[in-house]
Amino acid sequence: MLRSLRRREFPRGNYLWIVVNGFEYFFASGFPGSVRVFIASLPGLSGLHVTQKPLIRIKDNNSNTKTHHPRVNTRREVNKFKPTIYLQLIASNYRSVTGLYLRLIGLVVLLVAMYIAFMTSKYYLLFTTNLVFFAAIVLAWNIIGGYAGQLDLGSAGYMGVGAIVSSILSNNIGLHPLISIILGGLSSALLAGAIGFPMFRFGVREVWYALSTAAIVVILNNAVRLLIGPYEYYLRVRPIKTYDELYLATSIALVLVFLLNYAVNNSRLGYYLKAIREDELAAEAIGVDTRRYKLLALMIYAFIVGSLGYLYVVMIGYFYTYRFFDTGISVSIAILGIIGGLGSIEGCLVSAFLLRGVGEYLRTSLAHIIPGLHLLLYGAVLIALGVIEPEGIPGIARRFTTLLKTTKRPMGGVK
Amino acid sequence: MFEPTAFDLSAIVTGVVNGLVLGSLYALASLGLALIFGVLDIINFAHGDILMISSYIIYLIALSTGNPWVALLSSLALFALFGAGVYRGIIHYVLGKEPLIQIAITVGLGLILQNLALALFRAEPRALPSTLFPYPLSIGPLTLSANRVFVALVSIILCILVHYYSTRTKLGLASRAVAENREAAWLMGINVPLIYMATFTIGVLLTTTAAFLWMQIGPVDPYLGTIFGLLCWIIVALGGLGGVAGIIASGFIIGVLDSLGSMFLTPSGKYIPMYIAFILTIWFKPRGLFGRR
Amino acid sequence: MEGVATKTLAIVLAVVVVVVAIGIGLYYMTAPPAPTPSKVNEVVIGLIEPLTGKYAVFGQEAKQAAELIVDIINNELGGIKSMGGARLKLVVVDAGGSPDEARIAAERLISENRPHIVLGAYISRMTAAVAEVTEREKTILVMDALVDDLTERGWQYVFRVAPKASMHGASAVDFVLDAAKKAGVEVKRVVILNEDSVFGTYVSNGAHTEAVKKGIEVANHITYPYDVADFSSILDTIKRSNPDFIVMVPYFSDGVLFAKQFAESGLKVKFIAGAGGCGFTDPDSIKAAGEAVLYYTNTYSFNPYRNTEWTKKVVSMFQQRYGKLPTEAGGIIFYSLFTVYEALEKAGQMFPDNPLNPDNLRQAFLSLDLNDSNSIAAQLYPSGRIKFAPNGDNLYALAVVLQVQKINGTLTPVLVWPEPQPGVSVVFPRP
Repeated sequence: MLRSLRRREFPRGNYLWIVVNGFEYFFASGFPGSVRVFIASLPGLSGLHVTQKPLIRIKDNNSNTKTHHPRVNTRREVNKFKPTIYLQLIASNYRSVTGLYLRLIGLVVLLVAMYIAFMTSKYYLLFTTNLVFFAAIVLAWNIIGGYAGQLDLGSAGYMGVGAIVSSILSNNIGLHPLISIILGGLSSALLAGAIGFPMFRFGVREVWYALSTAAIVVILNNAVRLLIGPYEYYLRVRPIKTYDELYLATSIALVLVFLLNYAVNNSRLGYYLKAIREDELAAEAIGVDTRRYKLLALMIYAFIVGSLGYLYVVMIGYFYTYRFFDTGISVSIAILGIIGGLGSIEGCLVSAFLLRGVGEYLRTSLAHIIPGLHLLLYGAVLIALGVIEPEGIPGIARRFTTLLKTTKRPMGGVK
Repeated sequence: MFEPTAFDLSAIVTGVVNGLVLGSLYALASLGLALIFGVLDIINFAHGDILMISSYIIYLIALSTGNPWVALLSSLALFALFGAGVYRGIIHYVLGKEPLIQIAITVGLGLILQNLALALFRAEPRALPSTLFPYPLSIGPLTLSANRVFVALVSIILCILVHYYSTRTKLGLASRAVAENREAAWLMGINVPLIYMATFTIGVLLTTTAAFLWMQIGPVDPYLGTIFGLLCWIIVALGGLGGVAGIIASGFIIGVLDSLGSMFLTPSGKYIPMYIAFILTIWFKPRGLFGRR
Repeated sequence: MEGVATKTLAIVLAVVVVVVAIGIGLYYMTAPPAPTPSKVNEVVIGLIEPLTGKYAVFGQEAKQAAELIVDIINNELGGIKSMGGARLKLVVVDAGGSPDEARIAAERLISENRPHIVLGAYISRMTAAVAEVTEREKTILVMDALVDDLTERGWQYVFRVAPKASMHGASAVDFVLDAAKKAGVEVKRVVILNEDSVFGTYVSNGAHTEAVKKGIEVANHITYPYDVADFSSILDTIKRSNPDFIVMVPYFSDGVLFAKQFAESGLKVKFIAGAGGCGFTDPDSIKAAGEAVLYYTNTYSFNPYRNTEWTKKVVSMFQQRYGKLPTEAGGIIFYSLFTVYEALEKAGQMFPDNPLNPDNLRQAFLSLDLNDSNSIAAQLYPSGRIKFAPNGDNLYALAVVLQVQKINGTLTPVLVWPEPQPGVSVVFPRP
């Protein structure tokens, strides 16, 4: 197994890759195996024995490009911590480094800009936090729905489980909030694994998968209510005290999920997931272990959504109730992911911010005049979008750019 | 706090009978969905809301004309038009497209119907003040409502009629052919678009009939769809697309689980055994209990 | 595609976005500050209720009631006299269907309109989300959500005039026991049936505790999901428990369904008492269920038949304007808004140069001691007295019981407890 590690075509030294594949090796080889793998790959982290062509180009002070052979560098340089290397490694199999850089910078600039614009108004800040939060959830859904192509309607369940577990851990047991969040995410991932393993093993697909996940949410709703009662439980421990801090936390979460999406997209996992989405039977036929990778995608997504659950609790005012388990929330998240175009990161962001933003804004503007008008409009938009452009927002963008291109070239054909 | 019923024979029998009665209506309500999903391969998340809007229309007409049968016939006519319209205007464009897009569109349709009902009829529940047989029937140790028994019998009869439709009539057989293999059916000379439109309309009409029966026993509010929506899908998935018998059987199963769960567990928790049974069945028999092949 | 040009474009775009953002931020920073309290022209009252979603039933009626009362206060009563005739301005927002939507709505309400007092939000989890915001902003929140623990959270700026949920449940049991005693009928066993939301749970627990306290045996306590489609099994369980009477806490649809199915089932109990203000005896439920709800009762936070000048006046105005009898949601808003009116008048008297300061308002609320002869609010309230405990609850809270009876051939809800309205007596047990 260690040998096969070395021969892989995707770069080592990418510790996000390690984390992502760590789950997988945990299944394959159990805990001791994965520890062995992790230790064996540590040298790779520093790039000490890269056996393949170096893929890092850096510019030195005289703007000369030179290739970086980690092997030939002095010890000092090798041991220097270069965080940008990791970013480059994430993007290295994407079309180019600048693609990721641009998008990342664009996202961060957008988040900062929104903060500056809205920081004086509590309403707009909370509103934006809500949008950023749901954008993060939709991006997480993108891993299972966009890349793996599974109609997952269980996001409310994973979010609720993560929310309640992290709330109880941070409030009643007194753990540090970050630890509670991680543990909440892990418990959601565990639940997802427990459900997903038999589901994928029995080959549950498409609409049956969607119904099963929706059924899980209903079961959780009833079970949690029977367990803890229908009451609202208020948290006394409040680590995040202001909207600014909440916005910061949610923005960091969004950026992390964004990067993770890219990492998955460019990793072997993403490659296989997309193959599974296109044609699962064909993927099986060429030897992709569909069950394992779908399960991995599901657990990653559940982990993210579960961790975000705590932020939801903070966002509504530090209380939780069994009502978190609501299939309506799951469906609306899935819809946002669908409209955003399956597998398109930018599309998900656009649909989350635009659709949900406009929808929420209209709700507080119009609902007291004509109740339900905003939902009526939303439904009409959904139908229109679905009928006109089944590929969602990226499809519309593509049409738009094609339109621009064709109008620029009146004489020639379309490129 | 809650004292579950003692596990004796008469309780079980009562539970089972109640469940069968309830399940019959569930089966009829799910039949339209099964037809649409089976033949057109359309994932329709607006099914419950179509039931809801049919119930409202039936309520309005029955209240204003005082005659439930007039209400039934005129609603059938109206919803035949509605079904054809929705098919031609919306469904036609997403045939064969990504299932997720179909879900998005039908969720949109459901939202429109729900909020139309909310705006037009407000949020209070409406029910027909007089029903057809408002007296109890006693059969041995059981006491049943004659109304519900009537509804159950009519549901079963209609299900059987649909079975005959799908196995004996030309249209029914053609629909099944299209469901099995669209290309081959087309090559055989079957007018597939016509079959699609007809099947969709018939599915909507079945739902309207179920709505009529529902109005005999219960109230309608704009959120009736949320009760029936997921439940009908569960029944369809459980029963499989192999035929009417599968839907009837799974309707009965869900009804009985509902009823027994209410009596021996607690009504609050009745969904747990129902949905666990559903999930387990899907795991072991992914095409449903009576699935195709 | 990715080249220097695109990079530059991206940087330029980024700069533009940041500049625009700073511009918007500066605009907000220079927004006019809150009005100085020296001369009060108008008092902004915010109403946040669920206007969409499955709780729209309540929110819509609350909105109608609020509009009527604000109209009366502004036009008929001439505004807040102690503040120089300041008028009330009502701003209504939709609380949506979930706590995060309610919180956003509350923030919008506060940041765009800066209300001095907010009323809402009917559903406990939404009210909790709203209360977190109003508490931070020190805006007085007059709650129309009845779940008990909302006044036990330690919030300082919340008040609740209406009787809380557990009181509804207890009142239902007390009413049945009173009526049984008067009719000389013995009742020993009860089955309590409630819809499984947090509100239903609090009401039914109140009934349960009261029953146990008064020595009644609780044969069974059944909770059911509100979206039940069939009560047959539950009715069977009830039959096996063999109760003397049933206390039920329904929501609207299931109330209608239960009444119809109970009638069709041929079951007999001595009495069916509703609790919690939803279902059975409100005009829409009567219309929907018909004869099936005859002799059913329910507890209410509002008594539309109270024999006071203002109750009669407001109820008839509501009926004229909206064509229906006001029920729970509307009634609570009636006296809550008038309590606000009284508190504003008091604040204007107690703190003439800064009446709308939140702590002053709070003092004004706490100093209120209203009764029928000195206020309109108390005249609209079932017990005729309003005075707040430090946690915001009304010390003289009372729920009344209405029963559906056949008066001149039509089914009408009439008051039967604590004192039957003139010309009417409680029908107990069910014939």
